[in-house]
Amino acid sequence: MRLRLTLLVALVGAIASCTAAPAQDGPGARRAFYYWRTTFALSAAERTALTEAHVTTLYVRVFDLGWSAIEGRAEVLGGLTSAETAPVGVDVVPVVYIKNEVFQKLATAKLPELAQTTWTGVQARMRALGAPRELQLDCDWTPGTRDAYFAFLRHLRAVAGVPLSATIRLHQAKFREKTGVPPVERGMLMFYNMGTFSAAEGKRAIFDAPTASQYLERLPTYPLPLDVALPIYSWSVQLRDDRVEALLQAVDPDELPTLEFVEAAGDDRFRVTRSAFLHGTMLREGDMLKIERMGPADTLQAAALVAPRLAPGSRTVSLFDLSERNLTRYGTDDLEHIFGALR
Amino acid sequence: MARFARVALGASFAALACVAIRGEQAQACGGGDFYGITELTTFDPKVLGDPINDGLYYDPFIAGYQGACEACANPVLADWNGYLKGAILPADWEKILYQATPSELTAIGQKLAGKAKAAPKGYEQSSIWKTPAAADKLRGAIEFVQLAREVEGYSSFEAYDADGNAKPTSAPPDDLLATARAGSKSKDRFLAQRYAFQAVRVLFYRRDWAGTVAFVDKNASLLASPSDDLAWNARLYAAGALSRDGKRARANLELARIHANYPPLSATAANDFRPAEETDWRASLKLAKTAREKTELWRLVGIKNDGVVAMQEILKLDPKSPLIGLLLVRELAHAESRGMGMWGEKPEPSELLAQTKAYATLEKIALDQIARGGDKPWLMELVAGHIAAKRGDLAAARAHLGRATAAKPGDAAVASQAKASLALALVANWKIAPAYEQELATTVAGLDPSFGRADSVRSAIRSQLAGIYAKAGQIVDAEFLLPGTVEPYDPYSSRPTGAKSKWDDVGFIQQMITRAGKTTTPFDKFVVGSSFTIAGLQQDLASRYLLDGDFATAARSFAAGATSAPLGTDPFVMHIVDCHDCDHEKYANASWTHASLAKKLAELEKTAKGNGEAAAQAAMQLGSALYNISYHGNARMFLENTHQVTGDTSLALRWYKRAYELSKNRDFKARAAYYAAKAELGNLITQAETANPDGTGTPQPLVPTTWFAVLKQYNDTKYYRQVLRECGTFSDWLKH
Repeated sequence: MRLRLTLLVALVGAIASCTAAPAQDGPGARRAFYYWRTTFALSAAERTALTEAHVTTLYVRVFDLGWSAIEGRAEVLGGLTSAETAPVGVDVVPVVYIKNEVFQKLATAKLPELAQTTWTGVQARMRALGAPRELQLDCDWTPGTRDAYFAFLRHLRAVAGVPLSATIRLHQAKFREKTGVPPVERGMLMFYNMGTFSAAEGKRAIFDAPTASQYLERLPTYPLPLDVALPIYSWSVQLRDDRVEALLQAVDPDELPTLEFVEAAGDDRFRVTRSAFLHGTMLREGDMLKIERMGPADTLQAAALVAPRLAPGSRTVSLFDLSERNLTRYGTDDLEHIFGALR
Repeated sequence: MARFARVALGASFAALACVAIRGEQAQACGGGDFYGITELTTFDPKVLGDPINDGLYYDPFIAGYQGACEACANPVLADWNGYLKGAILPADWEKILYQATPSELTAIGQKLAGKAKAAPKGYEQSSIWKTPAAADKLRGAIEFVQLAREVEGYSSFEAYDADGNAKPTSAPPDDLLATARAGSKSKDRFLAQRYAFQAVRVLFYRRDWAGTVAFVDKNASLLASPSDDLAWNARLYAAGALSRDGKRARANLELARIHANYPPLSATAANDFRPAEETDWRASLKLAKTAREKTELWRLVGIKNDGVVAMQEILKLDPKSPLIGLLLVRELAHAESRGMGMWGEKPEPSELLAQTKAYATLEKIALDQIARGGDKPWLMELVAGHIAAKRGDLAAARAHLGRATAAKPGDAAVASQAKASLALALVANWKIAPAYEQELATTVAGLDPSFGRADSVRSAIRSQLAGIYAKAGQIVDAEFLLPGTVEPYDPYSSRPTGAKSKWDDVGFIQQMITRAGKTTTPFDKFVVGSSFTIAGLQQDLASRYLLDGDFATAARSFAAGATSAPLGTDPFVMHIVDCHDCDHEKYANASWTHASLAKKLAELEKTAKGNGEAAAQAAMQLGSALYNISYHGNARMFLENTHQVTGDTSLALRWYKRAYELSKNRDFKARAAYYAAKAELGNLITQAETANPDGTGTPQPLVPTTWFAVLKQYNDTKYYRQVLRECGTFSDWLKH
C-alpha cells in the first residue's frame, strides 16, 4: 500500500513538472495565503514567508455569519481583531464565512438588510488593514439555499461597490446546473476538503487525488474565472470503535509523539493510553488519533492535478492557511514550486 | 397506471407520518423536516425529577446549554421585593429599576430627600411616595440603582454591535470603582453586598483580572449574603477573570462549584467550562478541596466532554455519588440517538456497533450501582431495564422495570417510562398472538399524557410491528400500523419503485375501511387508533371507483360520506395550452366538489352512451374532466389526500375518441382530436417518467403522433387554425 502511494506521488510529481512547464511563458499567478485566525497578528516567521514567497494578497476571514435561534436573525460570530496593520505590499481581501442555515432561515425581505450590515461590518473590521478592494464570500450553499444566497450576493454587490468573489466547492463546480453559479466576478475553487472522514487507513479527507479527479472534467467550462485555493494544513481525526468521533483541527499531528498519553500505533495513527484532555477535547483511553498531514509533495500534486483543468487567464493561487504550524513543513523553495505550478 | 401522486406521497412517507396526509391523522413530530432528540430516543430524561434545567439534557441539535426557564422568578426582582417590602409596591419598583431614565432617577431621589416637591412625569401615582418612613431606605436604593446603571454602560467587551457596527468601548472610570467600594462598606447588608458586586463588575470591565479575583476572595463573606443570586454571580465574574488571566485550573473549579450549587447558573457555568489541556485539568482536580468538589468537576466534564469517563471517575471518588443520574441519562440518549439518522436514514453499521458497545457500558454502570447500593437505585433499574428492552431481553427488562416502579411508587414519570420500555421489549420478542397484543395495547394505553417520549415510543413500536405483520401477510394491519408499509417508494428520489400498488385495488381499500371500523380489543384500538380515518379511506375508495370508470358507484360513495371538498377549479375547462394555476385563480370559487363532480360524471356517462351530438358533447365533457383530474390537468387536486395516482389519461382518451366518432361537426371533431392528442401526450409523458424515474434521459420532445395525424385532416377548420397558432409542438410536428 505504502509503495503504491509512493509511486503515485512520484508519478503525479512527474506530471506536475510536465503540466507546469508551458505555463512558464505566461505571467505568474498572484500569490496569496488565507489567514483564518480571529486576531490579525503575524509572527516573524509568517512575515518572512510572505516576503520570501512574494505573496501579494492575504485573504483574511473577518467574521462569520451564523443564525441566532433566540433572536431569529443572522448574527456576527468570531469577529476579527486587528493587532497590527498588513505588511507593506500585501493587499488584504476580507472573507466572510456564512453558515448555510442563515439562508435557510432568513426571510427574503431581510436579505438587503443583511447585505448592508455585512458590508458595514466588513468596513469596520478592515480599518486597520486598508479599504477592501475585493470582498470574498464563503458559503457552502445548496440547491435549497441558492436563490437566497445569490439574491444576497446581488444586494451585497450593489452596496459594496467592490468586486465580489465566492468560494466554489468542487461539487458546486461539477454540479453547477443544480447548485447554480453565483453572481460574482470571480470564483475561488477550494481544492481541498474533498473526502469523507474515515477511520480506514490511508483514506484522506483534506486532499485525495482519485476523489479530486472525479471533479475535474468540467472545470475548464466553469462560467466564472477561477482562482484556486490549495491546502497546506493538517489535522487529526479522533476515532473510537473504528468510527470517527471528532475532527481535531487544533491538534498538530507533529505534537502527538511528544504527548505522554498517546503511543504510536501505525503509520498514520496514535493510540490513547489513558483518558486525557488535549486542546479542549477529552480523549478516551483506547481512542485512536489518525493524522492527516499535507506536505509539499501533496500540495504540488494537487496543483498538478488542477492546473491543466483551469481555463486560461490571470488568477490568484492561495494557500490555506498561513500559520507557523503549517510553515514548519513548507520551506521557501516548496512554496516557490507550488506557486510556480499554477499560472 | 402512472404514479405521480405517489411520487409526492413517497416524500411524505419518508417523514414517518409527521404530517397529515391522505386522511390520516398527524402523529406528533418535533417539527421541521428532520428528527430531533425527542424523536430519536425513547427514554424520557425527565424521570430524573431533579431540579435540573432541561437545557442540560442531551441534545446534539442545540449548541451549548440552555439557561433557567424564562418563567422562573427573576432573582434580582425577588431580592429587591424582599428588601423593600412595605416600602413600595413591586410593580412600581420594577418600573424604576428597569425603566426610569437617569434624570428620572435623579428627580425621584431629590423628591425623596425633600429637595424637590414635584414627582417626575409618570411617577406621580407611584407607591414610592406613600410611606414617608421608608424614604431614606428608598433613597439609598435609588442611589444604588444610579450606580448600577452607570456600571451597566460599561458592561461589555463587544467592540461591535449586533449589526456589525463598531462601537466605542472604554473602561469604567475610577470614580465608579470608588463609589462601589465605598458603598460596600454600608451598614445595610443588602446594599453593601450589592455595592460590592458592582465593584466586582467595575474591576472586571476594567480588565483588572487579578483585581477582580482578589476582591472576590477578600470580600467573600460580604458577597456571600443576603442574596444567593449575587453571591454566585460574583463567583461567575471571578471565574471569568481567572479564565481571561490564563488561570484555567481555578476558573474551571469555580465554574464546577457554580454549576453544582446554583441551578439558575448551572447552564451558564457549563457553557463557560472549558478544560483545555491535561495539565490544567489535573491542576483543577488538585485545587478541589473535597472529593465532592472533584466529582462536581467530573460531572461537568461528563456534560461537556465524555459522560462515560466522567461517570467512571466519579464512582472511583464516591461509589454512591448523587451526580451520576444526569450523566447516565444523557449517555443513554446519546447511545440511543445513534440508532437512526436525523433524516430518518439507517445508520452505518459502525454506528450500530458503537451503540451496542455504549449500551453495554451503560448497563454495566447501572448494574454495578444496583449491586453496590448506589444512588437512585430505581433509576439504575430503569436504565438497565430499558437497555435490556432495546436488546430484546424481555425477562431481564420485566425484572428491572418491575423493581424500578416498586422503588418509586406513585411516580407517574417512572411508571410511564417503565411501561414504554416494557412495550419496546414486548415488540422485540413479538408473536402474533392475542396475549401479546393484549399486553402491548394495555401497556401503551397506560402511558401518562405528560410522558415526554410517548410519540417516539409509539412510532418505534408501530414501525417494528408493521414490518412483522407485513411479513406475516397481514398487510392491512401493517398499513394501519405504519402508513406506507404496503406502498413501495424510494424516499430519496421521491419516485415509486415500480411495483403495483395495493391502493389500486378496490378490495384492499374496502378491507382498510372494514379494519378501521373494527375496534373490539384494545389492540384493535391501538392498531387503528392513530392512523387513517374512515371518511378519508372512503374518499380513497370513491376516487378509485372514479378512476376505474365506475362513476355511478363513485357518486354513491361520495354521497354516503366519503370526504368531499370544494375543488377550487372548474374540471371541465380545457385549453390548447394547459394552465393549472390560471384555472385555479379564475375558477377559485367554482362550486365543484368531489361529490358533485362524481355525480355529474355519472349523469354524463348515461348521455354519452347514447348517439348524436348530445352524446358527443357528453363524451367530450367526460374526457375533459378525466383529463383534468389527472396529473396533467387543472383539477389534479381531486386526488389530493388520497393514495390514488393521476398520470394515466387512457380513460380520458377513450371518451375523447368516442366524442370524435359520434360527432358530425368538423370543428367539434378537430377539437376532440386535439384533446385526444393531449391525452395521448399525457400518457407518453407518464410512460417516459415511469421508465426513467430520475428524469435525466428524455431524449427528445414527446409527440402524440396518432391524434396529431387525425387533427391534420381537419386543416379547414377554425379550431385547427387556432391550434396551429398556439401549439408549438403541433406546428413543429407539421414542419417535420
